[in-house]
Amino acid sequence: MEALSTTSFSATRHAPPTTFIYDEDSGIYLSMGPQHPAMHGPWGFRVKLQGEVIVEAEPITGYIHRGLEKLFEKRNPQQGLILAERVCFMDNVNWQLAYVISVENLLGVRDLVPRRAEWLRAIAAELNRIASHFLFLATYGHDLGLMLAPVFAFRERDLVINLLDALTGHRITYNYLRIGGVARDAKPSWINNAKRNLKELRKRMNRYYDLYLSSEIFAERTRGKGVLAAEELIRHGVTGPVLRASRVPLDLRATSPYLEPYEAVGVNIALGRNGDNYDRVLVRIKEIEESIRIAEELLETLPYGKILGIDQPVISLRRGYSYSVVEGSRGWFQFLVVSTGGFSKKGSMPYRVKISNPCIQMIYLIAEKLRGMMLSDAIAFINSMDLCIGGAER
Amino acid sequence: MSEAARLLERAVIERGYEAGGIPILRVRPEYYHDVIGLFAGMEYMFISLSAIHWRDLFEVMVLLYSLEQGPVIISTFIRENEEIDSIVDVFPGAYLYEAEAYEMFGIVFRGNPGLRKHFTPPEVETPLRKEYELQETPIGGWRH
Amino acid sequence: MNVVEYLRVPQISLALSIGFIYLCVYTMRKLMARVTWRIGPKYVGPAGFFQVFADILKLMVKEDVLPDVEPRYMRIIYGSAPFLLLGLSLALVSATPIPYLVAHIEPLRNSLIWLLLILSLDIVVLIVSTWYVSSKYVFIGSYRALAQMLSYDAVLAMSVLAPAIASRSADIAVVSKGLHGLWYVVSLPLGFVTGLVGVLAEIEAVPFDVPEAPTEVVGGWELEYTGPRFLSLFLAKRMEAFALFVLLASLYLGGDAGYPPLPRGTWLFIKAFLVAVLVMFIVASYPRYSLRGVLSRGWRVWVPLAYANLVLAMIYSALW
Repeated sequence: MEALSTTSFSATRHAPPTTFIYDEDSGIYLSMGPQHPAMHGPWGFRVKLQGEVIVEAEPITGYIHRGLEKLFEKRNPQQGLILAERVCFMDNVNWQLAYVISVENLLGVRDLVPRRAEWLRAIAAELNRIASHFLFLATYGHDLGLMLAPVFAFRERDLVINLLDALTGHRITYNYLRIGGVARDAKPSWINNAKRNLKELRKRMNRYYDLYLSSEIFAERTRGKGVLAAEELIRHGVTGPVLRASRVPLDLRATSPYLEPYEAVGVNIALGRNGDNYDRVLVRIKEIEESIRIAEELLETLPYGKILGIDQPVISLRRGYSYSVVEGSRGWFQFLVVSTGGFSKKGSMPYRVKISNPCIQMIYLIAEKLRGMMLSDAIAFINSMDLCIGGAER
Repeated sequence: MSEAARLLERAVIERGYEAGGIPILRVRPEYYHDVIGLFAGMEYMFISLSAIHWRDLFEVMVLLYSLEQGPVIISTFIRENEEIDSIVDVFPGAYLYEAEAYEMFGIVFRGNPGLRKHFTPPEVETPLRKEYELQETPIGGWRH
Repeated sequence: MNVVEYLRVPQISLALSIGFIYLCVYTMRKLMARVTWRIGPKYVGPAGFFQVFADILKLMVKEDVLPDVEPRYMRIIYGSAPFLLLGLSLALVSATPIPYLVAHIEPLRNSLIWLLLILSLDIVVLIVSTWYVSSKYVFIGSYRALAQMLSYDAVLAMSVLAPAIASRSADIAVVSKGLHGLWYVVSLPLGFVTGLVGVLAEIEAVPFDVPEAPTEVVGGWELEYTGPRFLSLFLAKRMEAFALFVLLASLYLGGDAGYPPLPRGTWLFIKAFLVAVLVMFIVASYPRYSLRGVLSRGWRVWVPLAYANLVLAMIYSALW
């Protein structure tokens, strides 16, 4: 396959060329990553440059594989909660949500989850999505040389992180969800705080249109660069904001809501036009606004009641498969939990857990699209995909 | 009877429902590639591929999704040392998933050019097989 | 004319530019902090004024590392490039009117030509020194710098020449009097804009920092310099910036003229500083061009505009 011929210089993987030779035919090999200011996470590309144009690109992976799937096989479902949110630090709630839904389906206790808990889950997930997208805006602005972007975006992110901190007790790994509910209830004062912060955040969103989208230089870097056709993305199975930027209205929160609150408030799908870098930024900014709206409406309609439907920790699983999919900030976060059942120590642990998300496909999709790009466009393109390498390698 | 229906009749062993409410089709390994191709023709998109190590069998599960029909899982069982057709010609997104299944379980996908180590250090072999024990100390060092 | 007097010029240039750079770096930090709702340097000295000094001290004691250069003798040139560039920048500042104003010396004749000559020399030093370095990012950065220099030196040179042509003199002192007393920023506003763009490209400030883009080529051609060499390079670049700001201020903003009258050179210094603050705002609020964007805009937009400005200056010169 043409798409997969990036393996042609895979022999160099463990012995990269050390001599520096430049001539028109061979070009130069450049390691962009795993230590490169623009590669977020320990990964990168070994690219072959002719002048400024990339003629071949091979991904460099393998620096952050933590063996999470094997570790899950040695943990009972309760312990697995903590592992589940460590798949990707940028969007923990959604990862944990995928795991929790999967385990609840396997146990058959999905209906026991109280409505208030479902609402709180959705609120936490939306807040986390906002935080994740702000992290994208920060890093993307920085990659394009916009000095203000990281400071602004991190400050806005802090509004959200502070809320999550007050709700869950942590700033990064929240460990908020439980099988059958959530860990802590939201106090009325927290709800008022949240409303105020979200209102403030909505006010500040205009700045991102000014800073990013209406800037001529930003448009030069992003418009018409790194265009991904919808068919191509569907063939590769890429989901999430990247797919929506290419005008495919696929958002699980809207098309098949996995939580009741999403059904209750309704989700508008943010769509791009051409699927270029610009649209990927635009879609994320719109999604932040939509998430703010969803979170605000959920806070308004938060029902009263219990927050935990199961009053004892889950230490065993039923026999069977369970597949759950959640619309995370980077596409579909999927958890396959397989159990052989039983109450022995072995039976209480999942037989196999498979974690997947579209970042895995994106690695080679990006490598394929890099060919023929200029170096500066390559950076703008790679980071507009907002790939989480921790989530991809697990 | 259409060709697609005939293929499905020959290929499918069992239809069922997952705990997550996703329909699952168990197919014979020799028809696995054709069934995937059939679904690709029906505007299904590839979402992910997983492998499971049962005692002497490997299960390969492919999650497909279509905007109209929703998700479906195609599953097939192969024996150890048995090879299976790669689906990268239909869905290029499966490239790294298959490479990962090869790396973690040793399942060989015929036609996938990327079957090599992507994630683990060279010392580690097929870590997700059941006979592989978790080790307390880190293995080896990095050689890049 | 006393030749010995002129020996004081480099000393005064160095003192002035170090003062200017110190002020600019401190202001840049405070300004960026204000713009982003932060506080900025705070602890070293009053309002953190000596923070820059602390940074300089840190750079002085850092380890000095140089990459392999093959053939070996090129290593000498590569290693000394920061000092060569520092010398060139000093020569550049010495060609501007400000040290003469401060020292009460009669300025050089036709110093504009001298200035343009020195401006075009630093890229030669850069290319020669980095050509054989085994660091690829340095190599890519240096040819990016060359590409950018090729297009934007023309913009800068034309914008600098326009006021000179309009006032029919290559003496900066004469040019800064303006067109019959009217500053050139009023009579040739386009020239000021293109000049500013040329200066931004020359000093590799943010919309035009393609040659050293940290997120693309990891610092570009200055990547492998550490400690004192980096400090020297840092000084050289900012001194060049100082010279260009002074040049812009004296050509377009009326030079040392100002009200109320201050000691000689003060107004020029203030004007150069104001240009620097303008540049700081630009640096803070724009992302970076891509290489292709920078080059195509250079040839398609800025060179024609600078040329139009030049033609306008010729018309002025012919009419008055």
